[in-house]
Amino acid sequence: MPVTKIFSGETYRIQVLDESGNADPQLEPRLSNELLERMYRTMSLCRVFDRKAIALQRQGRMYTYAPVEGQEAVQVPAAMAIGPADYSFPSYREAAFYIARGAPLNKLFEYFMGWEAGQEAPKESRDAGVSIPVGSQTAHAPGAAYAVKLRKGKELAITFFGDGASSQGDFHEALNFAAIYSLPAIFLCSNNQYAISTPRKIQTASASIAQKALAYGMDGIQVDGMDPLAVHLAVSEAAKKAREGKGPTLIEAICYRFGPHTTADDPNKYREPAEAQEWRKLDWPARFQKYLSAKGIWTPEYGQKISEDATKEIEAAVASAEQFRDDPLTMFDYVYNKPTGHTLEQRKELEDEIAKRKAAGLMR
Amino acid sequence: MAYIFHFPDLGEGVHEGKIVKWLVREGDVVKTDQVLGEVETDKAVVEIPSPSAGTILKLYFPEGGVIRVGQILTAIGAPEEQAPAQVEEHGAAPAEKAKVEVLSQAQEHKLGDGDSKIHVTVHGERELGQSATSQIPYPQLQKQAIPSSAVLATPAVRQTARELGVELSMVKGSGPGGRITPDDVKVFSQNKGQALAVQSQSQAQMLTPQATPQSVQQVSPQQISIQQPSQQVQAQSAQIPWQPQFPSQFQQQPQSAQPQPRTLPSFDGPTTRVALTQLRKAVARKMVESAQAIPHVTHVDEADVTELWAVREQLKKLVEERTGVKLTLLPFLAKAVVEVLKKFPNFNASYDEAAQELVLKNYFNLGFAVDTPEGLMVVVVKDADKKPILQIASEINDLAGRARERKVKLDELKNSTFSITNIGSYGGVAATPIINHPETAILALYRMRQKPVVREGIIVARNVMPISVTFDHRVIDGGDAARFVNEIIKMAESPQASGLAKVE
Repeated sequence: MPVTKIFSGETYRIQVLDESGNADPQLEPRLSNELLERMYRTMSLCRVFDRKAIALQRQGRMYTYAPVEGQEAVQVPAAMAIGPADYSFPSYREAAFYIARGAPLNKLFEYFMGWEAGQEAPKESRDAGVSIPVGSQTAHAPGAAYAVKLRKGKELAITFFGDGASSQGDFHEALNFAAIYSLPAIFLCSNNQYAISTPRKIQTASASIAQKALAYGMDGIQVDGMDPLAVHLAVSEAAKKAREGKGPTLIEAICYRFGPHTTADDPNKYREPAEAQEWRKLDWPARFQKYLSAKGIWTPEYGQKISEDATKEIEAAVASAEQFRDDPLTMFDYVYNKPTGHTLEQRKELEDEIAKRKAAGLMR
Repeated sequence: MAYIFHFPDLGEGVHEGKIVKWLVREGDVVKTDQVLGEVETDKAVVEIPSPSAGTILKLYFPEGGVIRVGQILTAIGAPEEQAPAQVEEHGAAPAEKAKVEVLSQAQEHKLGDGDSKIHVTVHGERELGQSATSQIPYPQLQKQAIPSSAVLATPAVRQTARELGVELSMVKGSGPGGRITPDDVKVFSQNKGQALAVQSQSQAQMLTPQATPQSVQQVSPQQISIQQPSQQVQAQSAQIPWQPQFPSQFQQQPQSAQPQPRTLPSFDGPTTRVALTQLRKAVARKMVESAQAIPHVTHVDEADVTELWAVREQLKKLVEERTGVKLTLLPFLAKAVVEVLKKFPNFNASYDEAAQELVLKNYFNLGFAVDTPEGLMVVVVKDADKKPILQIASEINDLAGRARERKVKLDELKNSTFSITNIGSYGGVAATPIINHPETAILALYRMRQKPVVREGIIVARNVMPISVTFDHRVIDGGDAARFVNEIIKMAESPQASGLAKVE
């Protein structure tokens, strides 16, 4: 028989909370009330953080920021579905992930205010710093996962990226490498519908990003990225599989970037405001509140308290970050574990420049 | 203490913004992060949240006003507090900002008054002032501080310049770093008045503001830059020692200075030298100015003027008997142009480079290029929108006649808002006219010819005239030009429906 079928595959989408916040009884993960509360509180905090960050930039108190609003239900549940010793490689739009991983709020503000020290993490942290080049971090995750495998560790590596990054070469190399070596890696794509101004429909001719996993010989699944329970379920399952040596997983979380690409962008130039209104109906707060309400956790007063606490916490962090001062020379200390030849050269150059300016009375 | 809200860089490298609207008024009490208004930068329209709670003491710019980074947007404080005066000086050029960034750290320590960080930084910006500027020993900063093309002037000075009709790029600044002071503008304006008085006595200089569509080939900007002699580069280098030594073809002409004359090679054969007339010199100067300042693009199309020609044939004899004017297609098409200009205001405009604003003109003065024995002149039919076709015809006839006899008055050669060059009587199917600076476009009409045209599958002889519009691509795009010409063609092709058949 000259024609033989060599492959066929299927890709699925999962949603736990429907659009009204009712949980699917088959899929509902039995999460503790404590975890659910922590998830809701953190996601609420992230939204306040996000809006404050934009305001600070508009007031000239902070530099460029990449807003998260609409993607909290991807980042926070994912952070809570992995372990503290796991490795992570986020993009530049993962403030909510860092917050959920316990990064101090003031340090995040400091980073966006231009202080390199804002990215400083405790020695034991396995969360990589913000990666600005699109998709570059997708290749770092299989590298870390390979190291884990070589030393027969139990950790995994997760990387975050967007729909635009799925068109980068790094993404394809990363998936291929991870699949070949059956690495404990999770590729979490936040498909927020836009790569800056490029809409998802002209990003790829595939029906989904999740299905790209099949070509590399790994599992891929699409989830409702505004459904925190679906994301938590998918990442937990992928993590379990990774730790059991069953290889990597690509997760495509469907979400929406309500804000601009960054504070230097105007989304009204490439999309209709009505579109955001449609997505707003799927936004996580109302759905999650409904679910938590059915569990006897959420009440309007409870929600009010969480929101007020979040505002206070954010205001305190801003006040602290605005007081922060650092020696600019320390920026070279964090590039490598030990500074290399050319970072030392650059450090010396800046040091000389500062000395010159101090001598000229331009700096103290 | 009041919070002085200095306008920040809202994007990455944004220098100014336009106030789209205010959502608060002076005296309003606002909360922290309450939206004060919307500002449009060259990147985005964004909402501006209040950095502080309190009373709006002052809104420094009206809606539609343009604010530069570093200027005060608003002051927020207790109702009895005084709003400070607007900051002078900075924001005019990126160099100022770069300087501030370099210096901000020192200033922060000096001014630790307990306010927020950015507040202190921008205060520093104000306090730096001139003494700091003069101390900067670094060539790269000085280089930025005196850009050859940027104009350093405060908005108040720019306003004064606009009111006095002074082109700021022509004014030499006497302030720190070449900054233009209010006095510089006033002195320049007075001197200009004297200069104009002198000019009006000279027929030749009178023609300075006019352009010619015909001498493009002689003065293309490419030729000019390539042939720049090397000693000129050296002369510039000697003045500004940190200027990088680019190959001469990359050297830009200083914007306001007179172009340095370029030397000719020695010619291998007998030559004769002919001095240019004053008019020719003025035309040459004006052409270089326009060709260098404006990125020209020409769009060409064809109009079937058979029906319009029939209208003209019908009226020709009557009009000649009554007025002595030989009726051509030009006044009909001029009328069509005026009607279309009303729908395309960008074509009846001037681009203000210093302010980066388009000045739309709400009056329609049509310039007509006239080929005189001495050279090109552009006569102007004022308020063409208010005049019937026959009147336009008779005015063109009169003005062109007097231009050829050098009897035209200065006033009749000035203030055109859009120009038309009609070379149909000489021939041609297309040309690349030069725009009559500071206008934004020029229309050209070519020879009408009988041509085979397909009408409903049948080849018929029709009178077809090529029409082109040459436009300033900084402010007009190809699509606009095509639509503009299409409208003219549409009117020309159906004179009854478009009203062109009605001549008085």
